[in-house]
Amino acid sequence: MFKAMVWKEWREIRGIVLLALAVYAMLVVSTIQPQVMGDLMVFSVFCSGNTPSDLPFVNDAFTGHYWWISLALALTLGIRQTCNESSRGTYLFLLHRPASRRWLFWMKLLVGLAALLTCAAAPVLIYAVWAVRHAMLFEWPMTLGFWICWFLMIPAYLGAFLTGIRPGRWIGTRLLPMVAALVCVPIGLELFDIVPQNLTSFALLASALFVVLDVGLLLAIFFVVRTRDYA
Amino acid sequence: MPDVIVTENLTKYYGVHCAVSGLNLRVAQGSVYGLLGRNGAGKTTAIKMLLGMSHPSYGRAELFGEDALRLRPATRARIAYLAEGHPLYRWMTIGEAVDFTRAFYDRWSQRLLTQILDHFELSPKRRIRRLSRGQQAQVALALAVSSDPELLILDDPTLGLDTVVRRDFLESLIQIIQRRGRTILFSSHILGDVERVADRIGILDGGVLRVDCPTDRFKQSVRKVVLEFDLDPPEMPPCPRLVSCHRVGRRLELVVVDFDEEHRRQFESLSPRSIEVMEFNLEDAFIEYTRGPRRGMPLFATDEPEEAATHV
Repeated sequence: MFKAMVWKEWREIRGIVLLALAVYAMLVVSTIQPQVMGDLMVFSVFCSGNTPSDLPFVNDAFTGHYWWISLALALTLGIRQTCNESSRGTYLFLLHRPASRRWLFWMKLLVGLAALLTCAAAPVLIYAVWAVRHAMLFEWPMTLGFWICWFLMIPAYLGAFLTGIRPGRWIGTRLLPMVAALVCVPIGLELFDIVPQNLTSFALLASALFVVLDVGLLLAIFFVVRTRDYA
Repeated sequence: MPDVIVTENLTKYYGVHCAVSGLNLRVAQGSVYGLLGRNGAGKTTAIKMLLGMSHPSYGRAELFGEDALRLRPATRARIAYLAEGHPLYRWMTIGEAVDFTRAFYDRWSQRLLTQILDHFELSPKRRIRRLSRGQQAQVALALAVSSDPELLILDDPTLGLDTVVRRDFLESLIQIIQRRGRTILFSSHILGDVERVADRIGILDGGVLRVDCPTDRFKQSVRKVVLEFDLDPPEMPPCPRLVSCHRVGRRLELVVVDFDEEHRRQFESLSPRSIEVMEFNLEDAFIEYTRGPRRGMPLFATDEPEEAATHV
């Protein structure tokens, strides 16, 4: 049952994840070789603003590009996992399986979050491997900004998921959770900027944000799961 | 026989619109119950409430003695549900759909599934999105019955299927019913389908259960009475169990439930030139019963005329 549900969810989102990985790969290549890749049109977007003297993740354009790609990935995944079932009427098939509704939605969320966080961590991990192999400058504290962005994708994803399962009009209250999550993400970024830039403070603030925002969104998701009508 | 499905005053409002009103239904174990109604009569809403997919505004539903909103997975495993339109994951192959569905059940008859798929000539390698609607219905039926359910709830299972596929589908359904004393509740607005398989019917009209009786009893109860007059027909006085009254030229066409001598005497008092009483088949009986301008009357009521739904 567990395997079947993981497989089904993965099959439904793997296209999005693979596309995001391809875009991340372009971003990493542009970071590694900005002077070479910048001449290629498909890479020029990611290379803009980069110079060979930039320090990766610290003062180059990587985090800015990464931020938008990851946000798009998080929102697309959240919406895809929920609206697709609604639009095709497959909730009626899925939710009649002999498993609790809560378990079925936990599985959706876990697969979605695992895919999002693994995929979104890939760029820095790939860069780290490359940097170590080529004896380039790389220290984990350099990537703090990256991990902050990475971490803030969780509420963005949960907001999109909540928007997807909430019945309502798109131009109306339905978009509210996603908009609220999107508003909270830059606020979160600002919060990280005003605290001392070290991993301990990041961990503390991340934990606090997780409790306040992510748990709130999860509670809202499971409230909607329990109380909504499925068509 | 114990009741497998019980609803008490089941009511659903969408805003101010009442989709289902005070549904009191009991389906006994081993029976085949046809829930009839025109489009928008509330059949699908009622079924969704039965399965806990939709929350009632008032009232409650029980399946196997458990609240429909809190069905345990073990109880859900005893119930097969074919939703309207047979929703399946279209990107899956038939084999993948089987593997996915089977993973949820402790009890699963792969032999029965293979038999059904072979009967319909469906290869497990075929992708569901490439199947016709009829074939998708067949796959959905195969998946539903392979878990060996005690209760099948089918929401308009033959909707959108052509006549041949529909007949084939129903014959398979009958075979499956005959395999064991399963309980089946299915909705439809195709009366021929219901007539073939249901031993009891309920008619939902405007969200209200107007009829709940054995299929044959309903057919025998509804009669068309044509009164011919030499001049313009007179106004029809109030009459018990009168469903509808249409003036057609010099004729009055009446639809009456349980036509008896009292009716005859009352109609004769209007001095018609002739009185003709006609029988209906189920389809005609249903049409006449549900389309009349006075269709809102609680027709089968004898003791409690105020109740929304009454039972024969």
